[in-house]
Amino acid sequence: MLNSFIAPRKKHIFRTDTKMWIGFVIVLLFFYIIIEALFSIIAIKHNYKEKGYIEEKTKLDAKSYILEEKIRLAKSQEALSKAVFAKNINIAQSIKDLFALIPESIYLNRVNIQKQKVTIKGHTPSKEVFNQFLLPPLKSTFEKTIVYFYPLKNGWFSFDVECFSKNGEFYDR
Amino acid sequence: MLSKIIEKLTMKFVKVGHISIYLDADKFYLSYEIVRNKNVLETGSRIFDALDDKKISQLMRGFLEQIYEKITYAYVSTFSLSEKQGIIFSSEDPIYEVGLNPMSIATINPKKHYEIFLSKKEISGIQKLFGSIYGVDYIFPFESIMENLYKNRQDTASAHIVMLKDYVFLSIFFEQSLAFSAHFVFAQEEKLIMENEELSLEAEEDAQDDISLDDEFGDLDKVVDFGDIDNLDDFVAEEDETQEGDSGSEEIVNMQNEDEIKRDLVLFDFLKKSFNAYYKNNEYRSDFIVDVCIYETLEINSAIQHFIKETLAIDSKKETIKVGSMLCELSKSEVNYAK
Repeated sequence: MLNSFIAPRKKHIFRTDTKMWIGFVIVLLFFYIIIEALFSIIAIKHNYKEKGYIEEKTKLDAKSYILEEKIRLAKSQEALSKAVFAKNINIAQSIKDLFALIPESIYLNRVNIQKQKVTIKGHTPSKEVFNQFLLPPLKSTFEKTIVYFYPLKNGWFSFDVECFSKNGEFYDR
Repeated sequence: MLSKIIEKLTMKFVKVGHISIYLDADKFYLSYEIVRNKNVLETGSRIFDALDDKKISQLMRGFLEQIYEKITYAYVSTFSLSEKQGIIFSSEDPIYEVGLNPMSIATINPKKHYEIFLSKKEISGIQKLFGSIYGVDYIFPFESIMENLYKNRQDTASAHIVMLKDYVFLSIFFEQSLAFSAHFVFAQEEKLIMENEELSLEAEEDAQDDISLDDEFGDLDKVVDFGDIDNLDDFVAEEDETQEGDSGSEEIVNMQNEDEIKRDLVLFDFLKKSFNAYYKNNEYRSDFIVDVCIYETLEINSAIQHFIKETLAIDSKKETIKVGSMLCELSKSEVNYAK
């Protein structure tokens, strides 16, 4: 202020109507940003929850898988145990049937039962007794029967019979 | 603060309008210059009738709106025409000692050796008047225009008289600086004359006083004889003779109606008193005014030149000025100064 009694008014680069428009746009932008921020916060919260749910679901899925596996295992074990039990029954029955074949005059020392092979060791008074009373039922039961006789001092014979079953375990028949 | 920074940064790139408005004889004189980076893009001036209460008309507002549409920044300037303004030189008493309340006036100090004051009430009045056109930026004292008129002169002592329709401003410069300044309002003076039927008697008394004053200034007494204009009829007759001698046209004198005669009378009275006041100052009493310039905005009145010739015994120059353009220039210099 060199020569004037008053200082000049503040100058504005924008006219009043332009300023109003700019103000309006700024207010709109402000509200847009606020709304956008709110939505973002909601989305973040939602995502956070969703992430939590997903994690929880993953955990639950893992647990569920473990449980299913356990169930499957239990079922398989059950089935196995049933099979074993059935097999045991069969084995018992087969052993019972096998022992039923043994005549009173023949003594058994050892019976080794394998899947497809049954080895029977014992004493017989004579080969004829063995061939007459024990061999026929063994032959009818097994596919192949190999008998080995070893004479004993007392006149008896020790025998060693190997019975083979080709079509599966003999106790499944 | 931010708006000022933006204003300064953008000033070079936007259109700036310097608009000057002043009221004279119930008319608003409007001039404008549109500039961009110191290049003048457009200039113009218009005269608008003021409303009855000396307010701005709708037509003028509309014209200003059109200018505002073209520009980014507008600087509106005017000058104070109030009686409640004046100038105090540093050699004189401080403001508070000459009976002015410093709280009720605004002062500016463009040159160190004087201070210009204007009543704050007057400033408020101007701001209120310009409120209807979004306000005013600069209120200049007329002395600033006078300084600009004198700026490039080298005269030892010269008087500059600016005549508007309702106002007369007189400034006397001595050795490149303002030595005296005075102004008066025609309308108020004429009103006083109308009220006083004994005008001639008063003028006579004034003349007596002046003569007695002149007695104190012997040098001035030799060149000033205010008795010549005491009787208006004598003065007009003298002027008539002079003009007859020059051009022989009686019509010019006959066209001077009573109002014009009264106007001249009060003008001469003002000038006479002002010159006397200037010579009263001991600092200047021996330095005669060697040059007188009369600036008018419209028509040149030759009677005043004759008066100057009779009073100071020197020829005066006549020039036409555009006050509005000068205000625009002042406005531009203020804006550049603020930068």
